[in-house]
Amino acid sequence: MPNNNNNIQQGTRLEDFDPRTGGLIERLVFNHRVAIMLFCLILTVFFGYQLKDLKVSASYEKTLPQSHEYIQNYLENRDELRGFGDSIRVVIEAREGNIFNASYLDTLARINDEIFILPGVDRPWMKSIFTPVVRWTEVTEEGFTGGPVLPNNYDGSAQSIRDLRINIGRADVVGSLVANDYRSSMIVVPLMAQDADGNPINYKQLADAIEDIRQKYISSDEHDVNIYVIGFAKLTGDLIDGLNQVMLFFLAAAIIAVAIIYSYTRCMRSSLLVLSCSIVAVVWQLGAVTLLGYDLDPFSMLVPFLVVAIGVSHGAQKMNGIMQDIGRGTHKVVAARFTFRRLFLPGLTALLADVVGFAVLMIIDIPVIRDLALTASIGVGVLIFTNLILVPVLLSYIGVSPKAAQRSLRVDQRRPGVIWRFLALFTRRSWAVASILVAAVLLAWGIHMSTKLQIGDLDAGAPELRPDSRYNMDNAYITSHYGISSDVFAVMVRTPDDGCRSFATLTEMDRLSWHLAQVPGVQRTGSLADTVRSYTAGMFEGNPKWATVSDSQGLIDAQIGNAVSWNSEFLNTRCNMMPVLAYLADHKADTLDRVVQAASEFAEQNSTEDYQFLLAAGNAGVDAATNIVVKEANRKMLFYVYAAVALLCLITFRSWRAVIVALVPLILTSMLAEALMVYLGIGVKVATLPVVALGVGIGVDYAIYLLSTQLAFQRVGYSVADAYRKALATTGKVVALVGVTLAAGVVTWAWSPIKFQADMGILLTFMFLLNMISALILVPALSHFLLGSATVNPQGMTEGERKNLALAGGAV
Amino acid sequence: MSSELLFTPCAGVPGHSTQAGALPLRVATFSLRHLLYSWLRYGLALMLFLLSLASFAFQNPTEVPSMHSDKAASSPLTAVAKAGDRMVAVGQRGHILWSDDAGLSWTQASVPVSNDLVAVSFASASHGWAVGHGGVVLNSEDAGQSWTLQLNGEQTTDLIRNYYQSRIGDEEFADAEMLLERENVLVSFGGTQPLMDVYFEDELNGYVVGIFNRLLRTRDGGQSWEPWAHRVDNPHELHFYSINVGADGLYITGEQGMVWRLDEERQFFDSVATPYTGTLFGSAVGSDRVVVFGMRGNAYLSTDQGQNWQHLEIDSAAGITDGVIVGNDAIVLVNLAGELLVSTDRGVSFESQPVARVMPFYGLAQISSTQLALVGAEGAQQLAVATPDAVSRESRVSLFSVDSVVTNSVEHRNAKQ
Repeated sequence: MPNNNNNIQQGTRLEDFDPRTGGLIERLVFNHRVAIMLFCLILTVFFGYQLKDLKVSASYEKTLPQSHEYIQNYLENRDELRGFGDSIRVVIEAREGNIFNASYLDTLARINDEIFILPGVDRPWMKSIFTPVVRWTEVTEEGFTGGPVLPNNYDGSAQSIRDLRINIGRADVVGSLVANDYRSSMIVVPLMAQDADGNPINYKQLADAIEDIRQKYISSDEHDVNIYVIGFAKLTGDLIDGLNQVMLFFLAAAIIAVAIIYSYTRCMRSSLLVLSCSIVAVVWQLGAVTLLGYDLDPFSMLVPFLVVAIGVSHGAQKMNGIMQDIGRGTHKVVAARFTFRRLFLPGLTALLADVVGFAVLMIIDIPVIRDLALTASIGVGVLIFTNLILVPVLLSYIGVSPKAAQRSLRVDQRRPGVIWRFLALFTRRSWAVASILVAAVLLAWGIHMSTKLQIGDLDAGAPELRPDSRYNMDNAYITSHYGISSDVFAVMVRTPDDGCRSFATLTEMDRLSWHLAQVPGVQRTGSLADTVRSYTAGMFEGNPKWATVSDSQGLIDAQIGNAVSWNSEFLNTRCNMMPVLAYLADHKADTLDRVVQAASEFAEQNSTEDYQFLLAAGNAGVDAATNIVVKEANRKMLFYVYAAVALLCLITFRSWRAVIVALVPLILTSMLAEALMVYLGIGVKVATLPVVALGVGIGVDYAIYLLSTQLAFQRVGYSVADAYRKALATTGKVVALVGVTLAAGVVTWAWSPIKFQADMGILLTFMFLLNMISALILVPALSHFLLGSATVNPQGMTEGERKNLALAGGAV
Repeated sequence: MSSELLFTPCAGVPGHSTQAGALPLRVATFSLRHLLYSWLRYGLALMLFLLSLASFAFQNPTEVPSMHSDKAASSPLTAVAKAGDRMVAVGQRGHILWSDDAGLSWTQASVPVSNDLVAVSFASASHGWAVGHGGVVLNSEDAGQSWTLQLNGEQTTDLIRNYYQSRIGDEEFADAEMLLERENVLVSFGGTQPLMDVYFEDELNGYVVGIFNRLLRTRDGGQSWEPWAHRVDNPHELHFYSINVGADGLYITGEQGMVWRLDEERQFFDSVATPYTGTLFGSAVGSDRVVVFGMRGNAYLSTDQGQNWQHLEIDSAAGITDGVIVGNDAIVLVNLAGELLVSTDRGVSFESQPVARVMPFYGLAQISSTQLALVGAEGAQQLAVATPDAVSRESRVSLFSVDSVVTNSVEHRNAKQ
């Protein structure tokens, strides 16, 4: 702490102030205020200009745990795996009756044509009962015969509809292109990896275009159909729509934050100033992130919210200090400087504590979380400039409204409010014992509940979106009416080139497929062996006795040839990578565990030099790997974050007892947060990992504020009760302000259309608030027992001297 | 039949000792050699076992027992037969299932192979045979609960080659050399030849048929098999797909619209041409009539043992996979479109009957006067065929006696739900 040589109790006029006083940083900042402002202005313009390149993306790959064996297997072989390529499925349902009527078929034809011409659609492979690629084949007495499912002479007449119906039966598309109940049919829209110019397909644009088509047809009176759309591109489109919506939440969060500080300070100009500085911080942060080549993703989008919340709460403290000084008659420049002198280091410590919380996230090997850690660190780093330096500098120019300044002094001198008097009760033995007992019971309950904590996503459909979102409702409709599942687990079978033709490989794939089919939760399995079975039967007039994998190489080769030319998703062109697919009923952790267990068991026992079974691809395979990583990371991260925070507290307080006092409220909150997750049905997943780190990392600030002040008072001789009461009076409000502002910053996320953002919002709000409350209650209670000995009684010190000493010790 | 005809797959070491004569030295050397061999053999077996542990070598389905699975009854089943009061069904991956409650619940049998099985025949309530890919012949003597492997494809090949090899030059076997050559050509293709159907007339006498003119006959319950390639008129080695019996005779059907009928006198399968040129999947034989059926909804009826054929009008283009003739008048057919086609007017007209669960049907068997067991792509289901009383007005079908217990499939479905 810089030594204070000015009497801050009385107002100091600018003329009386010696600008050469204060620490090096203070002199650097306040003796070059214009330069500082100019520097910040240039940076703001520079970073603001970078924002033009800021993109919102929802990259799937970045949520994958990159170093996990399964994911590496998947990423290595991804290009060879067909069938996981991106496609959109559009289902058109007849509101009345079934699909076999002219008006439905006419509507289907129009929609089919409109989708066909959309950019990015891999037209030759688009499949519906109206596209020529969907054919029926049959062996006749004369040989193979076949044709498009849509009769060539289709004219909407009853006869041609009947022909269509027969062809649909012959082409075996019920369950894939026609619903099991014949009330709807599907258009499968495969997407190209890149467009003609080599650019990646813009999913958002495509999803929007399909959405337009949907709106056009379902709202038109002529067409009596419902339309359902699913597919990764559509999901991405919906996610980006959601993200854009969440960006609007930022506005709400900012308004709430400024409302909170205004109600605290009653000074509009400084409130707006603090908010502006926080927004400047956001601009710098986003600019820097863009400059580093990152996109704004659903996770890193949290950072601006946190930056504003943290920024506003820190700025509010600065403002409060300056306001009080001005209220005492000090000149605004001098007041800003005194405040800076008092608060720069504690502020820095608190921000660095936040950075520690973020830094711990770096240990998790999932890119989105690492990016979040990095961008959040940048954001907080930026806050050191904008809110610890720029705010006091700007306040030294604009000052505060005199009325608010007077008020702040009056409030300060008033008898503490009822809440503060209530909180002070917890330093008494009986209250302390009671609160610790309650905390112990809650902790035990929390621990009990946390054992029921599930890993992974628990809801059906796309976990990114809410269960009642349009997308997930469409998904539920389609999966219940068609023989497809949105949860696919794939084991990759790797062989030497052309290895897919071997009888041994095919037989083993068939065995794996059957092995997986036995696992509860697996609805259906499929592999190249099934294709070979059905093509072999097809080769022999559809005779079911031939539905086999023959041990005759000639028979296998013929079917593999067909599979290649019909673009089967079960093999690649080099015939060395074949997926065995298991379609799952859900993606609950238990289901995935069972499938992984069965698949890895089989892989271990049956892999040879000629064929290896590699886990795992498909969204469920990725989920399984993510679950494994997340489960492990969750424990590891809790350990590291607490270790880091404990270390930080130890450095700050130099007392292990104080460390306990600071950590117990955090542990309680963490456990209760897990209980809340169980209650709300939120599993441990990628999105909840950062919550604990952020909650604990930022939550420890409260204890740092409270305890450092309290210990400062205790070190000059105040009893625990008195010291806490004084700490409450000085920093208690700040703690409450920080807690409420942070909670307000993230609470808007609870309304995010993106499920995991909403989960994060709810959990972070809970943690920020509960950390604050439990710190305010448990810090005095625990101090009563643990920190009684911290009070020293320096001989021959008067009350006034003590107070000055305490203030000088940074206790404000 | 001479002793060389007998093929005993499980036989032990042939009796060298008798040839060794009475000389004690020779006996001693033989015994020593025998001991050495057996040790070598066990050692080798042990080594192979250890090796298999280390490298997980591929095991042929013929060596791997069928896996027990709750899903066996709902996975593809190819054929079903009646064994006394019991129904026995066979299917993919060596699945064999039996049901004692008319097909409502199925229990999986233990089977030493996991080849895809395609046909089953019971000669009595206890003795049954099943055949399939890998050329396997399985036998059960406990009403289908447990099965042993009697023959596999490689053994069959050896058997056929040895049989005709030893008959080259024999005047009674003029084709021996050609038949041997044909088998050698098949060997050069690699792999084994599947068996497609089996029929046992009693616990001793039976036939198996397969592709490329494969036809074998046993007179000792499958202990030994005699190749019958020379006892069938099939110069182009067409595939046989079914063998079926009725009072009207023993019929084989196969590719290119071909039908063969056994001449009991000559012990020879004469070929009978049909007007049809496509593949005939199977036949249904009555007391004085036979129906053959196959791809694309084609079915033909003959009442004169194949001299004349009448095309049956069936309004479905799906392949007909199996059928039965009930009481010589009613014809019941199933097809790949999941239809149960019933004619009660001697084949003049067919009507599609409602079934509990539509799936491609592969086989059927009559359970009782009112019940059928159907098997197909999604396993087994029991079907009670409706009579007019039950389905108040719709159905005109009176397939079975009216006073029998009757349920209709709609009720059946509701009951299941």
